[in-house]
Amino acid sequence: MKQIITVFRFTFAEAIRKKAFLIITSIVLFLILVACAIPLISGKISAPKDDPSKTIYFVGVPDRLPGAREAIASLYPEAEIINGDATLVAQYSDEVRTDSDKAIIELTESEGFPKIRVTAKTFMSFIDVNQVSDVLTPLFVREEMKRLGASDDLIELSQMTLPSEFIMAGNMDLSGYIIGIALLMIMFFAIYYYGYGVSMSIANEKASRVMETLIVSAKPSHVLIGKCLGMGLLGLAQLSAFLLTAALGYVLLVPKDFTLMGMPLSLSAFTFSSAVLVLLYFVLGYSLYAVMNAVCGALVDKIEDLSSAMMPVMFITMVSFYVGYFTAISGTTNIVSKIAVYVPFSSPFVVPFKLLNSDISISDIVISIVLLLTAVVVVAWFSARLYTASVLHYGKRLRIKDLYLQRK
Amino acid sequence: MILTVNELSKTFGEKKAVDRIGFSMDRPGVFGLIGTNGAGKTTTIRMMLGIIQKDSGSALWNGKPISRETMSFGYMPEERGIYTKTKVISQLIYFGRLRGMSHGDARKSALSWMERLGVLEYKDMIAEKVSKGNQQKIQLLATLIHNPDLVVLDEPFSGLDPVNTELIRKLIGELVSDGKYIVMSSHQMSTVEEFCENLVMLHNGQTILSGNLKQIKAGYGHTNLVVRTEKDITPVAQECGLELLTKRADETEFKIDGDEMAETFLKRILAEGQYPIKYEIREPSLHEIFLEKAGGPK
Repeated sequence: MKQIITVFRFTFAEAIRKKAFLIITSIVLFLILVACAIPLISGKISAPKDDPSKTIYFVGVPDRLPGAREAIASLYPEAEIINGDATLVAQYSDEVRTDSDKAIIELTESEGFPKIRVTAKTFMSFIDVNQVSDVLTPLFVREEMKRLGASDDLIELSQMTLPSEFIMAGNMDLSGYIIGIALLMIMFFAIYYYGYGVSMSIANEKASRVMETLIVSAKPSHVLIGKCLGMGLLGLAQLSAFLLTAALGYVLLVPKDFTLMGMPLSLSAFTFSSAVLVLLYFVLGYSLYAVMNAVCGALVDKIEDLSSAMMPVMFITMVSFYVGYFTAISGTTNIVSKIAVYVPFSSPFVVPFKLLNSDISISDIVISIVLLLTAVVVVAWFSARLYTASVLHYGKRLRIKDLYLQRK
Repeated sequence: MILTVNELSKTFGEKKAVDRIGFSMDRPGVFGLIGTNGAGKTTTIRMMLGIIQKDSGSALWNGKPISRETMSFGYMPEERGIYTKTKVISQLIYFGRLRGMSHGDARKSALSWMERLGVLEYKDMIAEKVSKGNQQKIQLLATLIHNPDLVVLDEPFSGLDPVNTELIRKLIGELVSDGKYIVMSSHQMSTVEEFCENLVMLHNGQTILSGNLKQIKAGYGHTNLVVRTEKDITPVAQECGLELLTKRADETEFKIDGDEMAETFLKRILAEGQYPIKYEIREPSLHEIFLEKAGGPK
């Protein structure tokens, strides 16, 4: 135990004072603060201005659509509506082709009805042909019904839309969804990045030939555990710094009335128990991948060979992450999603999202944690033996089968 | 205290790396493990210290199996390695702590050893900024920091310049005076000849010679004659049946069958008016014994 603590302390102390670590941490902390300040800054920048920022050339004969220009103006208040000349459409098109803040709305006749044609630079332009159509169509219907002598009641009836309401029966809201996706990304980054740190640290020790001195001083399994713990704490410390900065930025910089896609951003999904469980999944998920990465680090004698040695673990990590990601974004409850909760490699990515969105039962959580914990113990035990067999091997890279045969 | 290595064997795949090697040390001193590269020296050491699993045999210290947990040993591997980006003092304390020392004791011991080996001024330096020779000394300090009873040095003089070689040579003498048991592996026979009373000679994993160095040499008798004269005496030597071994700038070495042959040759050159400046009859060197045993070029 004493040796594990010694390796753990040394690994942590060495890693935390590395220049690269300090620089990356500082940059990410700065970026988090900038990200938190964006709503504030954009709010100030996009404050109502006297000068419109967009231009819409309105071309066509709106005789059968009186009030069309006003309707478009109210739909796009940030745009200046300019009555265009039909003969200059080609010139307007040239402008639109290079300027995403400009668009053309043309009203022409087609088979006795007005036809709406919208021209914009790309499909991501500020103007949407369906929105324009939704605004102009009722205008046209009203005018046509008036012309055909329909009563006012009938005209009003034709203009109405049925009152509607969307009720979410589950607890998933947009905040929980977005934070869940963000958490899934963070879990992947943390498990992959800090696991990579373990393998890099071990590969460095092997390449610099300090490994033999090290393992005559301490049991290889103690070195392995101490190293994984050291890098794990480093990851936890760095992640905590990021999350704390994000929380501070949220409190101090994000405006109180800030909304995301029209919904207020809320951290209500983060209860104490869900936070503890997310932390547990991080610790166990990291442990599972870290011990496998440690074996990869021990397999190579040159740092440049590390990437290829890590391919199998990287493949498992990527597949597990994408299973978690697609389960999250598609909200599916299919068989893959259900199995992914129990599979130890994917559960650290899948379960935290489901936890934040109350999309998982307590029994599933318990089974998932027990299976993950068992996998950590089994994989760590097996990895310790492979690690011991491989740390002193130099020359031709060993295969897992060779390691297994030499594991004594 | 007694070190007993008994019938250690190890096979890697089809290759027998070490075959039933055995030796013992019952008092402080230096024991030599000699052999060419790939002879099985490092594998023997690793088995002896429990770093790799042995196929058979035992390595005991005072009757108990040697392991990290049961005894205090220091091992300097042939492949030197230190943490290049870490301060010298920090890594020495780290290795001391791994060997069960407290932080304070490890620091005190590290500083004391650093002073002894003349590297104290580098204590707060990042190891990669220290010269290669001094890095080797730091490696040796990591081996000795916990004051082990048994010290195993794998090719300790490899890559050292003459000044550092002399320093380590002196240190080995001091360690023996301090009562340490030293097992030293080397393929440099002159080094082993200088330090080791007893040795094992390995070739392709097999023990080809073992025992007390003096007795081994005495067993060969007087086999070499070194002569320095003003004129070339090689033709006379050939006439007397002496085999030319080496012709150096100022002296010539011959192989002789015994003292009688040397005496006959001496009489001949004196009769011809050649008075030797140097005339030395000696036992074969360890290098020559090794070449003979291992079947290398004479």
